[in-house]
Amino acid sequence: MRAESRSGLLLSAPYTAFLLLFALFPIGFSVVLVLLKWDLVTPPSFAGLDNLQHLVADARFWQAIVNTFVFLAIHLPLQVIVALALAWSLNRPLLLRSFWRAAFFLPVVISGAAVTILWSALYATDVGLINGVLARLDLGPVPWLTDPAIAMPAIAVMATWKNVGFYVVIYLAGLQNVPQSCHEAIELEGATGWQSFRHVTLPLLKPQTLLVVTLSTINGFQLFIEPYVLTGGGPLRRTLSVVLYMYRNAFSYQKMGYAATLGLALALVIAVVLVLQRRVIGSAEES
Amino acid sequence: MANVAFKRVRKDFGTTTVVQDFDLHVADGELVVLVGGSGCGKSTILRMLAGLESVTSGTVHIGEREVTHLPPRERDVAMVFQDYALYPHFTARENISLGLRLRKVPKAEIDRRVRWAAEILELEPFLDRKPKQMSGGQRQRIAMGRAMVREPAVFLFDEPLSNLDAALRGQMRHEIARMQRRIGTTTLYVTHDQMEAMTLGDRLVVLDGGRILQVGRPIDVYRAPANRFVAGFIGTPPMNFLDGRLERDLDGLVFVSDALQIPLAAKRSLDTAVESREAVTLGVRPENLALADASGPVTLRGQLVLAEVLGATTHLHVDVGGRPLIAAVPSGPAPAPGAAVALSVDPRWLHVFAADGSSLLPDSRDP
Amino acid sequence: MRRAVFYVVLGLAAVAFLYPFLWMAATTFKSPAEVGGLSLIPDQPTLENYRLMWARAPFGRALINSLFVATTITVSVLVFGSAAAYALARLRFPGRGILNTVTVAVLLVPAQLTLIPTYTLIVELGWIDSYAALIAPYVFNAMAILILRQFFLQVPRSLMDSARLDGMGELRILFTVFWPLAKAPLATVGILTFMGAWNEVLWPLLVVRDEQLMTLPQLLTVFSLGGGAGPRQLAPKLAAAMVLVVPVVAAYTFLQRYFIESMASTGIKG
Ligand SMILES: Nc1ncnc2c1ncn2[C@@H]1O[C@H](COP(=O)(O)OP(=O)(O)O)[C@@H](O)[C@H]1O
Ligand SMILES: [Mg+2]
Repeated sequence: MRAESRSGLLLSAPYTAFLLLFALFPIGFSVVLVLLKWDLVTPPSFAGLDNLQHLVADARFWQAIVNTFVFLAIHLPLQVIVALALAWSLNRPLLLRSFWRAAFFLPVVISGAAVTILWSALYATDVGLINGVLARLDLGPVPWLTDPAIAMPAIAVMATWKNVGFYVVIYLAGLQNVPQSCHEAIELEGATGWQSFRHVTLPLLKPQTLLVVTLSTINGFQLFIEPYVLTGGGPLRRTLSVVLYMYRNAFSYQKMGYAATLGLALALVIAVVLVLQRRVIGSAEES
Repeated sequence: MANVAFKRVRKDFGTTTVVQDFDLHVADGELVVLVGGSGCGKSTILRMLAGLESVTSGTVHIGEREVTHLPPRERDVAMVFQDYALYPHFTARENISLGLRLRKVPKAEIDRRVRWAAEILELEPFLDRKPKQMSGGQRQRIAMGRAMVREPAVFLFDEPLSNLDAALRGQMRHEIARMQRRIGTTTLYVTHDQMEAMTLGDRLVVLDGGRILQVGRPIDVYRAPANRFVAGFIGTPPMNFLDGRLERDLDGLVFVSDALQIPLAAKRSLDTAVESREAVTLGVRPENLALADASGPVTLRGQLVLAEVLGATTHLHVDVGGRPLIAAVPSGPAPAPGAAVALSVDPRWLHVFAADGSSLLPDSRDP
Repeated sequence: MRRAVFYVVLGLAAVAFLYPFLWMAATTFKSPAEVGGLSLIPDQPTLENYRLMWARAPFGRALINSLFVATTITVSVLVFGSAAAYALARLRFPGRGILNTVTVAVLLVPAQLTLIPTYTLIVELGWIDSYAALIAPYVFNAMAILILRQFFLQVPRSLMDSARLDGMGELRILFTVFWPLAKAPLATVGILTFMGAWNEVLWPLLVVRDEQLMTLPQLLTVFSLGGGAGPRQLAPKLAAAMVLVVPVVAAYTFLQRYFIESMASTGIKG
């Protein structure tokens, strides 16, 4: 064998082994698990389509899916608007420009666990910071995390706060690619600043918006630590997420087959949602 | 020091063959230039000799050893690349000495060789700079120094001057030739620039499509190109070509193209080699065309399109019955563009190529 | 005037992002009576919350675990990952095409799909409650390999050729020629990997039950789930969160440009 082939095989062998063990095997085995009933203690038994049937009829699973859509319905628009507004504000000669950017970006680098605990303090009904501020304004305390109608929106706001700095940076990069001449051309036509933003900047930022929406959506379906710490999925299961439910099936109920079924279903839902989003944002371009 | 041999070497990349039937012997201490258009396989040939590219079939020899399957570091060759390939994070001195350090050459010996190379290449002032802080010519010299200190059996140069400006290229060409003569190492030098090839090599190897078209001393290749490709490739401005046929008259063969007739007097070798009426291409170098004076024989009549004065020489672009020709004549009073001009051809320097491109005048030196 | 208003609005926005962190830091030094207050300066500063937090759970040990796990993963992703990326970019060997394709394909598979099968694998390997469980599934990273491969593809071939003629083997070429050129992508990959490993919480929650082996975010999560949300519990929890946040904020303060650019350039979040 040629020396180059030998070196190539040698250098890539650990990676190949890793892919087989921790990528290809789990992907293949996820399909097998769907067909099994397995508590990790007694030997697995063949369950046929039981897991799938259970999934279709499982109110908690569907509740979790609905919850995720509630989350996305608030999180996506909020994320896009706030990120755009902040990026647009920063996209000009500014005092301390990198300070502002770094400030908005700070929550992005902090562990989700820490951010969640911080927000549990912000949202706390009696001693929380937010209700403290509201009290100064003579507004009554809001039960942020214990009211079934408010809990999920509250989590969506928190997720926006945590991630928006990242999308600000993405939008800023996009804005820097919008040629000044485009704005000048439309302003010569008599457009206002807002019109210029609406008809020039926004359409040119479509790729960034698509990225923001895609990543935020994936993020939304990965919701775990926030409900796990803040609400335990309550109140009335209104903040139960699919990943949290999957974690409980695996860790607490020892139902590996069903947990894997949830994972597979979640992967499919994500794929479908992302494809639909792409269609919608893509067709908005044509019209 | 060593001679080099390629024996029936072939190289395939997947299903495409980029070098085939490559046979070449380079004598010890010789400087051979491989010349050809871009993509003709020049670099691939050098890389096969260096061990950087595997050989599909055939064998490669350096000195008494067959090296076809040896890794690069066991072949004792050094190479200078078009982009110099200096390690950007090392100083010039570190770049030059790295190969020796990796081979565990004693420190004192390394110092001696670096000083020796730096002196020949006039590098001393730059030794402690990094490549970024040097000009193209200086980097080029560092790359040469790195090759020299290895004291290899064979030097390989792959278009080493292509990234330099014209003035520096001329100077570096001269320095490479001087360095090679001084240390006498067998050298293979690749270029696409025929001027460089002509001026530098003991021998030329003209390549096209991965095959050798001709091997010989530069002046022999120039005077007796083996085929139409070589004839057109070597020489600036390039040789003029006229398509036509051969006919026989009382004095011998005549080249005929429409109204044009050029006698090929005194070309013995052709008489037996060629059937008359054969379709051929006539080749004539620009410097073998002259402005005809009233008395002499006139062979070509046309219209002057453009006169480029280069100094001692002027290039006349002449339209002869719709065919553009270039004549290189001594500068002097020239006709104005648009004027009718008459050109005479020196019949001793005509080249005739068969339809397949091969030369029908294998020897066109003075008969 | 308009400019001043603009800066005030921008300032308020920045307060919304920074004030919670400052308030968290202040609260950890407050006595229970003060905890609900908005002030950033404790009336009677106390270390009691830190003492409580430290006494109730092994946070020192968790800090060491997290450092060990994140460092091991990062070194592995950089060293072994760049070896694989180098082979995929610059060496011809049988299977290279497939390996490249699989690397891209793996990125498209959502992590949720492989989470449970990987967990069962770890259980079957008997790795529950071990560093191996925390480290092994992360020793390579397809995204890191793509980033490095992309960069390695751009290194001029002649540089590799002269390294070979100088007598270098592949590993030496990788580490003495390619690495010095690849400082930027290596920094990007290093930051992203370390951050990802440092912040990961779901995976440790699955595979580690022994408090002594828990990573910092995991122990923090477990710790904060116990007890209510009253002022007595809140401040120690925030003190625990500080242990996780302070090292990152410190690194971020000095390297913020690299953090931001690494993440933005690859489109990945930590
Ligand atoms: N690694 C490779 N894989 C496939 N084709 C190659 C490779 N290297 C060179 N070639 C092809 O081989 C031919 C000769 O290349 P090269 O020797 O570099 O030409 P030159 O140096 O004469 O310009 C070209 O057509 C080139 O595209
Ligand atoms: Mg070449």
